[in-house]
Amino acid sequence: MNRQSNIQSKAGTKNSCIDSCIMEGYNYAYLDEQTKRMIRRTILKAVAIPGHQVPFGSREMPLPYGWGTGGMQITASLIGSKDILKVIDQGADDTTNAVSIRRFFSRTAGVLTTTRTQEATLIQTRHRIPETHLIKDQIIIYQVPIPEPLRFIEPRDKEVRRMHALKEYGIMYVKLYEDIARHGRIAKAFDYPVLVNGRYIMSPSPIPKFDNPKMNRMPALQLFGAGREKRIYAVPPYTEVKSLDFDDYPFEVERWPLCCALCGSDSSYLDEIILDDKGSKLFVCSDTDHCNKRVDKGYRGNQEKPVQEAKTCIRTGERKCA
Amino acid sequence: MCMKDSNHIPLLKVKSISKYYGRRIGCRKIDFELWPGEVLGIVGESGSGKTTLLNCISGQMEPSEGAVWYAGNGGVIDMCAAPEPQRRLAMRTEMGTVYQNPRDGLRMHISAGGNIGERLMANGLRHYGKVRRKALNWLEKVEIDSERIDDIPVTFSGGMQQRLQIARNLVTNPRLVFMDEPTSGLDVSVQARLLDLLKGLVTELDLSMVMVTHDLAVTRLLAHRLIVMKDGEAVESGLTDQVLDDPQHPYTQLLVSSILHP
Amino acid sequence: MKCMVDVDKLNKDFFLHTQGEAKIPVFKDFCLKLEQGESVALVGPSGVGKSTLLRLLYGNYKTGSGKIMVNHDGDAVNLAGADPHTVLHIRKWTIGYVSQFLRVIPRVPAIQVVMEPMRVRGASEKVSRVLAGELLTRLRIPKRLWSLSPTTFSGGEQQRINIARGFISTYPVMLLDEPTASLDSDNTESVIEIIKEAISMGTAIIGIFHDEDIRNRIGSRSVKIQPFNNHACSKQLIPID
Repeated sequence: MNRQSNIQSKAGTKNSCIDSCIMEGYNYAYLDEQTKRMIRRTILKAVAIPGHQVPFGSREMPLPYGWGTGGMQITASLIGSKDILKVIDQGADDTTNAVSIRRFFSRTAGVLTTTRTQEATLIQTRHRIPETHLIKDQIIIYQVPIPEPLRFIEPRDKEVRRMHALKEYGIMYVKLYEDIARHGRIAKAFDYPVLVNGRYIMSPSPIPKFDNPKMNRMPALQLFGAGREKRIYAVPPYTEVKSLDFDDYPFEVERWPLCCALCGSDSSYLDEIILDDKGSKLFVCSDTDHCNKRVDKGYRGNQEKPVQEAKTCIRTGERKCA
Repeated sequence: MCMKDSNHIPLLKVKSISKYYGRRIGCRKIDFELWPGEVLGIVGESGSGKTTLLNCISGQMEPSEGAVWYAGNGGVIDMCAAPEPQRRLAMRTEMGTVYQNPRDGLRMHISAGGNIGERLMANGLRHYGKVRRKALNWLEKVEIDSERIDDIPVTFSGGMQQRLQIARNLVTNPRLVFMDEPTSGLDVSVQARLLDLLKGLVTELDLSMVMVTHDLAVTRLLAHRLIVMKDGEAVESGLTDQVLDDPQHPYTQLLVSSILHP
Repeated sequence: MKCMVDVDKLNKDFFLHTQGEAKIPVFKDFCLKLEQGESVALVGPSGVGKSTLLRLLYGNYKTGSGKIMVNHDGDAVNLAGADPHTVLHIRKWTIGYVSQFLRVIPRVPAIQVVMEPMRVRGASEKVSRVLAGELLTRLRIPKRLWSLSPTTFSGGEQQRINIARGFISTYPVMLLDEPTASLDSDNTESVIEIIKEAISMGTAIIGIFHDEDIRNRIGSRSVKIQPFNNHACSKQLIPID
């Protein structure tokens, strides 16, 4: 793949002509300036209190709630003409949601877009954190459906806020206790609650718990937007993010019996792909950019041999790479 | 054996507590002291302000006037004026509340073990095995079969739910427990079992207890002292047996003479 | 001798508000002194107020006016008008009471009922159990009943449980309300023995014993309580011996 061609812009790549490329009749990046200021103030407050959910006046966006309106409003408030935007959905750059949002901002803000993690200045994501380590000056924006980690345990909003204010988080551990009592382990596999900066319990959005350790002391700024629930929260760079656990049942991430069938990666989050009615399946990287990068470098997986049974490997955690 | 008891400071000092609902009186100018290891019964008919008083002194409702001094492990605090974090900390570590309806006091869709363990985990215990052991231990104490540890309270009988509530509250060894009609709604044989259990725990753990009830027979067996309430005011108070055997106020006499003896 | 209880000008009326504001006077300026190791038997016809006096001395009934001074661990405390906390403390350490009725929580085993006064004083489970067992054996309560609730016992058995409960810990003052009323002769003997032992250890006793023989054997001084008449200056206390 041609690295140069990866940065895409609409109608030519010269920054000078960007202004003329933006859709007419719309504000820059869709939102009006007052709304952006309001959202920026909310973001500042959220950064000042890591993990604390700050309410904001969520606007109607030209797509339904649940499609990333919260993340888009943050992106719209932060984006400038020199930014390079990457949008992923479940790790992939080429899914409908990611393609639509990327196109939306290239049309309304005229920014360059990319699929390469290390080239992006802004990364809007749904349900994954890229495998590539994020660096200083990058901003990752999570789309959040339900920002309140205590919601499913305590339905009263007033009581939930009081629990956060007074750091009364016993009930969160009750949930983990219930998992172990029932399943013999903490069964929560995504949206696994974290304690931010030793103070607030936060929902990391529905990322797999595999990604949780990446949040800890991440050099990039992490912003979370929930459009329907009208909440913004943040984890500033280099902030401690700890996944909740018990001393005798420590936090663990998922493991796979095999490596990526395309690039042979043994350290990335793998999606399981069923190939036929007989149960043949493949494991491939969920992060398409990471996978492509490795393939470009010449790494190869064992594509020809789909596995049929891998239980023993799951139990021992052993890895058999091609 | 030493005749002097170690504790000579009241655990709870209630000073002129009043609660008004608009112009209506919830309770008016109630005073009392509760000593360590003492059980106080608050009796009176429905609507006499018993539960209002209980809510005011247990920090669940803000009284219109008055003060509640609690001499806890962290020094004396005014439960009506102390900052909320301090108050809630005292409430979840040193106090407990057993509600009339177990639905108010239990998490009905969390297992029995989780219900008992919640306070432990809220107070910082982060060890599943230890939580589990303590929960099993308390199930045994409140006479619930240990095999039910992973069952949810909706599958329990009324008496079991009430006992589970007690275990959930007592697991952190509180010093003071508030009970709102703990035995009403239970049939008599279950009641007796619960009373026996409570009495044993009060002695064993040196608990103090404030118990609201309309059942005078229950107070005779459990409470050291009684406050009789009518229309929001305390019309009579004193030793339980003295109030029941030699009632002074016309209302108390009426109340006592109305009990049915089997 | 140390004066344990000093009743001075005690007055007691019952007001029955629910029954036409009836007033039933019981005591008028009643006086009584009780010394250490002394035994006093209250005598008088039924309904004259013997049990009422015991209940007043136990703080069970509220004193109208007058004083009930009790020697509580060396301090003279006025039981009439003492706050409930003090009364409970006096009951725990100074004054014991064996009533005619056994009031217990159903389901609690007899031996636990007997042990309780020891336990509230802080005695260990083990020591209390041994002492309770000894007393129950002396009172001929068969061992198989110890673990059962006394609510199902016969009248005589219940009374013996009550006595065992009263005498398991030593009190400087004991109030006994007809402790032998429903007992056979063997058990009566045991109870008299227990009472005499208590007296020899310095316990002062005020009791109601209907049997003159028992009164004599315990070596009581009898105090006759006269039916109340409305003469303001009527003398209540007439020593017989």
